[in-house]
Amino acid sequence: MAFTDPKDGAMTLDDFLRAELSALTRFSGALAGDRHLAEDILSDALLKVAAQWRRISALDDPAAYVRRVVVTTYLSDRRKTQRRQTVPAADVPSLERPGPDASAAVIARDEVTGLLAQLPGQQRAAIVLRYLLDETDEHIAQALGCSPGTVRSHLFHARATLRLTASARADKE
Amino acid sequence: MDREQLMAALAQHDADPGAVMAAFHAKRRRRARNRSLAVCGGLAAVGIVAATAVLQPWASAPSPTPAGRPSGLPNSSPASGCASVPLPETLATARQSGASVIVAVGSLTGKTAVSDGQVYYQMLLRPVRTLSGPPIASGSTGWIGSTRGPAGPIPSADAGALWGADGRLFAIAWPARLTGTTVGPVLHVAPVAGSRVILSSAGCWDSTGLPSRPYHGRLAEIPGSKSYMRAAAGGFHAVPLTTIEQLASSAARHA
Repeated sequence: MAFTDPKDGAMTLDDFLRAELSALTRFSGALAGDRHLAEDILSDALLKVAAQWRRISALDDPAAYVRRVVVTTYLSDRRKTQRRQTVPAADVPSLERPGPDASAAVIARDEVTGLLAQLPGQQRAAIVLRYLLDETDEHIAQALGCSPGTVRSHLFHARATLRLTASARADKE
Repeated sequence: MDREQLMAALAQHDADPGAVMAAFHAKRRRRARNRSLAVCGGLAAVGIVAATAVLQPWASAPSPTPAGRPSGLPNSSPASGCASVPLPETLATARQSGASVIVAVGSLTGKTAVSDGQVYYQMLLRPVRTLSGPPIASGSTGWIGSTRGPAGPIPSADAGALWGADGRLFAIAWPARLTGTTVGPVLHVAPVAGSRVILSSAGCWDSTGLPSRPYHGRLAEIPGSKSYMRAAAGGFHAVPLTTIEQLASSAARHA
């Protein structure tokens, strides 16, 4: 089923989704930190995209624009639901554990997930765009609607919260 | 934390592409249907206003309550959203009709039922304190109406049902025989937070004339109903529970 009448040579939304849906599902999942919320956010974002597809398809990089729509949808949803969400009261323990065994990886992943959940929306989006998509500060700034300096500030604070190791920071800095 | 751990954590919640596309198509259809309903509703409203204007000179006294429906039940008329009925009047009507006024802790059982095109959610009440009217036993169940019909949201309905984040609620428990529904007793609920009852458009509660202050805390809702968000637009009014208890007692004396 075509979402729009394709103009000569123009990419339809169907074509776009065939190529990009997999990456978008990964992106929205990393942003939301919850599969069902990610599906809700991405489908909402696609609704907005579908309504403007003719204009979006003419852009140089439609995928970047769609990711920006996903980010704004995620941030908007987060603002709306923040007051209603239950915040865990327990302190998340540190990641330093001597002598990792078979369960250590699972425990560590849960703890990383807990640390990610503590990040404000803008910081989480900056981390996802930087580490999952290798975006530059300038591109992240465009997606978040802020300055590159603010992006660097978001990343600095997010890394501190996540206790990223020096080597992990060096990968990207 | 190293980079691999971060990437693994980011990658563990990938959305399912099939579910995304199914949700996308469903939302598109719903949006198109709502647009059609809005257009039809607008045309109907224009027609009703025109007809009322023509017929008004010959109209008799208004009959605000449909036959067989207690006026204290929340009005979810698509045209108005909420009727403005002050709480003392709502409680008086409830008591005169034989409903119970209670304070309880409620939790959804997960059961739903459909009656007259509206979806109801079953709620377990435990414990229960009956303020006035026929006693309601702890462990009883009742039904709360959602603002969804079997085919989706009911356009322009009221904001739905809210109760306390810890389950505490104030409610009017309407026996099934009074509501005309087939599901069973219907609960008209309002959240209780601390020592206050939170009144809002969720349930069409009207706090006019009562001492109140704004409330901004967490509340519980039927999952996916967005009742909190919709009711927040009109504001939450925290009324002392003691005031409500006095009103319930007063209503009982006049019943």
